[in-house]
Amino acid sequence: MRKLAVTIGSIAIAQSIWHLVTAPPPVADGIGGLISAYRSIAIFLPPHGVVGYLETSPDPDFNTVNYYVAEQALAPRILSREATATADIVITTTGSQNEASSQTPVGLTLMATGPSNIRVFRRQP
Amino acid sequence: MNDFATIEAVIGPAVILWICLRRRNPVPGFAGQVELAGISLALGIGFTSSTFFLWRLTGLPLGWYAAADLAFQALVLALVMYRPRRVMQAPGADSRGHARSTLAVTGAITAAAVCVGAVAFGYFTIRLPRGEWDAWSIWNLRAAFLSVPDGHWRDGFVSTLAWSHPDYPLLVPASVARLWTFDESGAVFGPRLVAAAFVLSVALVMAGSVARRAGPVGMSLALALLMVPTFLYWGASQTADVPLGAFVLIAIAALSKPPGSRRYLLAGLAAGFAAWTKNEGLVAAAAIILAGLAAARRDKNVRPDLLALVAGLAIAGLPLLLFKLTLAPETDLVRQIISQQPMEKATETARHAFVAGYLAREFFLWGGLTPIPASTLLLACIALAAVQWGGVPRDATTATYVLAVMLVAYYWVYVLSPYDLEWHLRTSATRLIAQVWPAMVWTVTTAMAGAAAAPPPFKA
Repeated sequence: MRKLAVTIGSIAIAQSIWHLVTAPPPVADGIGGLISAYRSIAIFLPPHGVVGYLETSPDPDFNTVNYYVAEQALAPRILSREATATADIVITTTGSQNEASSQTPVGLTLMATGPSNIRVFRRQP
Repeated sequence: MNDFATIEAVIGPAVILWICLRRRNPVPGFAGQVELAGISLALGIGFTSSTFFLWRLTGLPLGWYAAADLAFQALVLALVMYRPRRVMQAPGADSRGHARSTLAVTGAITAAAVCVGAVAFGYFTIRLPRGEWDAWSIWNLRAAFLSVPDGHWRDGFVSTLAWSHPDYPLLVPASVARLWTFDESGAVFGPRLVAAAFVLSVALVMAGSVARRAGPVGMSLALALLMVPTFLYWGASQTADVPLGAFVLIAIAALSKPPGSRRYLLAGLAAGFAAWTKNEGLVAAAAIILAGLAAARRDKNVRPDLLALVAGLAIAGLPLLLFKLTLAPETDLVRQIISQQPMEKATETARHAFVAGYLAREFFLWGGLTPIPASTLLLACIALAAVQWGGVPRDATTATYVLAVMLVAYYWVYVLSPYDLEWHLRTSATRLIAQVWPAMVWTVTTAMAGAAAAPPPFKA
């Protein structure tokens, strides 16, 4: 029984080592960079309360990741995708300058542009 | 300097608990002390997450917390050290006269398992510096709210954030937020340290507990099976699945200690903290209580044992109760299940076949080992144990109760799932296996030890 237990353990360990040896070099995900980018626009936002969140990328998955990460970076502000028509301050997804969606939405004025082209809009009085 | 303070905030409570537990539990040699160290590490995180959450609920200034935490640790340590009692020593169980060659091989496997665990955990931590999807969208998000200095920390539980499951229990987020009070809020070191502490806790409990029953051979096998890449991936992911797995393992390891009410107290604490970790932990807690009831009936000491079990559950479950009563919105999964014809889903044969097939496939391939999957190695252990079985070992029976209740509950949640079933299984089944993997490995290796210890039909 002991020999069989040792054999099974050795097989498991050998395969785990093989998995590690053949694994590609670790590449960090981009979440840390996104969090830093969103934190840098916090100075333009109220310290708490609802902030509109405008999804400007054509890729819905990219929008969702940005939204979730932005919420963590900017807590305790509540980012709302539903409040873009009513909130005093609205921010956007990260993205490139020349995207069609980078135009200023109706009723809003551009206040600032942060890293990765995050834009901060204020509602016009 | 902040990193040292953060490390102390995890190690300090663990050391205090370890001293307490050593004085109140018979310590069967080195293996028992290793097991207690693992239990102390996880329970220490559980207790401190509770104190941090209660601090937030009372409205006391967050800026005072770190100092108060350190002062409280010093006070408890002083109380523990006052009038030191003699450490109770139980008969050693981990010196069994193994051959020198066997010890050398098992030592090599154990060392390799520890190295693989450390390297793989480091690799996945570099790959996931902010954790897996659920870590930054749920657990660390909630930690970000819990570490807000003013009263707006409660905004993290509003309905606008329903996508982030504000009903989920807070052991992991409160632990991370607590560590951020010793460091910068949002620093990556805190969540990584919590993740590492739980993986270490699982490894220590597994090593110590299995070594007590099965000696060094069983311990090396258990560690080799535990430290598979997928388990370490989820360990480094900063999600709450491995912490839940740690508490389930602690509960079944505690219930398999020599008879006495203290083991029921430990099992009750682990059950309560499991429920404080994840909603699935409520199922685990119910399973542990049922297993504890069965064990207490066998011990013929039902009332004191049950009192200890319930006391542990009440102490560790208090923050969950307060959270559910004061802050948490209704659990969305349960509400949606009830509102979407659960009886129709429960009687759909195709649905059952799909869930059973998916879970079986997921379990078979789980672990990241090729060409022989980890599940196959686990099944080989069960087959070996069955061949030599002279009766089901009691410890393995208790653990099997817990695992069976948890797995049946998970199965039914999938069958009744209100979400797209394929999506639900794809995004969660692998994590659920990570929750039960430590308990499965413990059960199988303990069963093998029981089989070897029984009068064998074949010479072991």
